[in-house]
Amino acid sequence: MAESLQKHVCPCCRSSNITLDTGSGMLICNSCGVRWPLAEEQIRAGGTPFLSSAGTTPTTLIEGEKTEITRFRMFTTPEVLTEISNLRTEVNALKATVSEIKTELKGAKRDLTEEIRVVEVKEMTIEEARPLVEEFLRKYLKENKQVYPSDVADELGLKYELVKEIFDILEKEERLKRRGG
Amino acid sequence: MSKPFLTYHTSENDAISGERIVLEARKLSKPTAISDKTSRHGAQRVKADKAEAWIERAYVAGTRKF
Repeated sequence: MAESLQKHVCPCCRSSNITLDTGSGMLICNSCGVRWPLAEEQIRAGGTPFLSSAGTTPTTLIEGEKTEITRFRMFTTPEVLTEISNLRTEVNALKATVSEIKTELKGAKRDLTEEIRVVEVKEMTIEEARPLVEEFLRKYLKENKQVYPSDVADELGLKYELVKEIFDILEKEERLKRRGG
Repeated sequence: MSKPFLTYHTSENDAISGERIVLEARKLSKPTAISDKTSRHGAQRVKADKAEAWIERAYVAGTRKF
């Protein structure tokens, strides 16, 4: 048996469309389905915190998170509820912002690593370039076991063909040899 | 862009394979990671427009010093 009540307000959605289930003594919100005991109304009026008679939490029509929220609502005032609701919205907005920033950061990191290095190619003859290449190789081969012509060309800003030609000369002079060849 | 020391293969499905391939192109795409359930190691693929690529061998120090 149920009767409609106008003076009560739902702690969840603030709707005044409330029904009293006289059988169980529970107030039921017709908008969101939340149930709470009639005695809960005393808390809002400044009474002592209410715990349902059997020490159990009130039931809701919606399971999961809603139940948790409703359990908390049992012991709070409407002002606190509003504050909690506002904080929840704020936390969700912040979570979305953090996620957005993370995505942007990931993209920025990727862009940084993929940034194109511009090498200005110098026009040189073999005679001009050879001492530069030899000097580079002298240092490079102290720290590395092997060298690729493209490494030299990129580092010194020389044409690949030119470096390859110098490598061929150095190979003939037995200063360089192909690895495994 | 042609280089005298290269041998050009320009037919569809011609392939080159090596430990290092140098690629010169007018336009390069960003690398795409490719993987499937069976492949143990991931790989990346780039697309190059108006491109040429060649295999490069590594050199080590020879018997004579610089």
